[in-house]
Amino acid sequence: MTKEMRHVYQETLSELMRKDPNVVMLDADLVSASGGGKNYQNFPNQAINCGISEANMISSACGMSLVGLKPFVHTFVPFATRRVFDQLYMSGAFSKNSIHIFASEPGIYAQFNGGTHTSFEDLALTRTLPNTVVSAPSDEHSFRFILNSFYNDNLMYYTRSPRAHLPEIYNKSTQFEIGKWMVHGDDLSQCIIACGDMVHVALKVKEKMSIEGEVISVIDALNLSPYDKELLESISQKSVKVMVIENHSIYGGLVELVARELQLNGYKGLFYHQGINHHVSEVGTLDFLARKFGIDFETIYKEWKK
Amino acid sequence: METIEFANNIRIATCEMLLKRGFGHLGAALSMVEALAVLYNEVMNIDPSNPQKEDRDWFILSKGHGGPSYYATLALKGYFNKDLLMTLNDNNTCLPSHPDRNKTKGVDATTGSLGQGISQAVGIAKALKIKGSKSKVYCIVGDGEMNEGQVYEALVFAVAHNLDNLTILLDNNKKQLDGLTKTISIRYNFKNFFDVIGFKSMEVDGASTEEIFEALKVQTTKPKAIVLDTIKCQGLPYFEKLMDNHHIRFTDDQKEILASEIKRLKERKYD
Repeated sequence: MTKEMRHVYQETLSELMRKDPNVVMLDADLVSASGGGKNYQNFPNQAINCGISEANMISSACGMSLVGLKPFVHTFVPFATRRVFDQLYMSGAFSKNSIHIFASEPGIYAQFNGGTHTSFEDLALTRTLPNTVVSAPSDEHSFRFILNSFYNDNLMYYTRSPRAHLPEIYNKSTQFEIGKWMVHGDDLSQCIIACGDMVHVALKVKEKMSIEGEVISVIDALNLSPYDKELLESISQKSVKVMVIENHSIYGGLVELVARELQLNGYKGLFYHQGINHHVSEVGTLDFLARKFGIDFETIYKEWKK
Repeated sequence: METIEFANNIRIATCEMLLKRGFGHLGAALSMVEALAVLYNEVMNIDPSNPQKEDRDWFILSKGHGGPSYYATLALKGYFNKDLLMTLNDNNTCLPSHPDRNKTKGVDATTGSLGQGISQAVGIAKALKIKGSKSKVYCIVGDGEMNEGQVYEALVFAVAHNLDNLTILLDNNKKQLDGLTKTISIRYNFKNFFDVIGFKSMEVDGASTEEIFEALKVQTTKPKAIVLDTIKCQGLPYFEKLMDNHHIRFTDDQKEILASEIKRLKERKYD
């Protein structure tokens, strides 16, 4: 059993905070939710609970960056994006300040917090930010890579991830690179492109189709900004069937990113997509919400078979 | 140079910049001139030849639309060539109407989206404490800016984290873009407001460099707030009396009046 993503967050930050007193973490009254509680006990001078004041948390973290600190900020996705988009833009990206935002519970992962706590728009918003790395890690190893990359970088980082455990895809020695997508398979003639939690659904479809004798490659789009232009150019030339799936609105996220690049590169094959089409969310289990919005394994498998 | 003379020179340069441009935030820029003069001439630990020096004090203009007098202050202190002041808002200028730290030497933080400057200021103050620095942070906030909810979040953060290295200067010029702050928002008693939250607060004549200096020198273990009793277009009698003087697009007559005010200010004598 791999670790919960929030524990990966807590552990990685613990290592960074121990070795560098300039590393600080901030939360907006969701410390226990983020998994960072131990760090607040162990590093009281480096851990700041801002209370329920997300706008101030983002801008003040940017102020800390001006003095040379490396702030890691956490809150739920809608409060890390929709609620504070001007702060992300002005205090962060425009001003060229360097903070990391861990936005937890993307899309349907809001589950029993329901529609009011759900964002299907975060990638559409953050993809437009200059000087910003936008990521959706699919397992603990890619999450660790993103957190450590931020530590060694001077850009702003936006990272969305469930707090819960995601099955392990990679290992400690896997080499990641910002802006490079991970390819699972050797043949690009048929591809499913996904990011974050949806990579696991794509891998299940690949496995099922493999049993049925059909070869599919799965592309793990680790970063949506910058993204893998070279790979998408290659897919445009080699593929005949591409499906993009996302736990996000089909407007402005991975679907539109891939569609645009394929179009620009003269792709002539089939193009399918599954995501959220202007629906608002509601309370429910992960399975229920995935089925409701058509991003569950069964629906995507059937859509692929079409 | 005496601070009163420095303030007069900031006012002259600000008026010249806006006269050349033909429009701008004259009211908001002039109401804080004396505060800028005291901070940069008497109080802050700065080195214009080394704007990033490690132990410097920090200044954040949260009411970023006051940019022109901020630029005049920086230029007169020697952060950059005074000739650049006449490029305000030109294409490719390094002096945009609202301060941009990536464009202008000496600007500590990018501001203009109201409420965010003060949040950056509290973040800077907190970071300085974490690093064990003795540097101070000074932040000018507008009375109209107090409409923004984010200001409240930042003020509470300052008290919660005991940021005694932070001084907020509230430029209470009584007006915002659309009219009087008290009619658009509420009739604040700003001093009481800051006291209730947990600041050490004072109220001074914002046109008096002596009163501002004395307030800045008060020692306290709390974050400090100085409410500056000011007026829009402070120091220019004709423009002070205009109702709509937050941002002015000068008529030909007003350009002549502004030019004569500049002449008058230049002729001012000091003992």
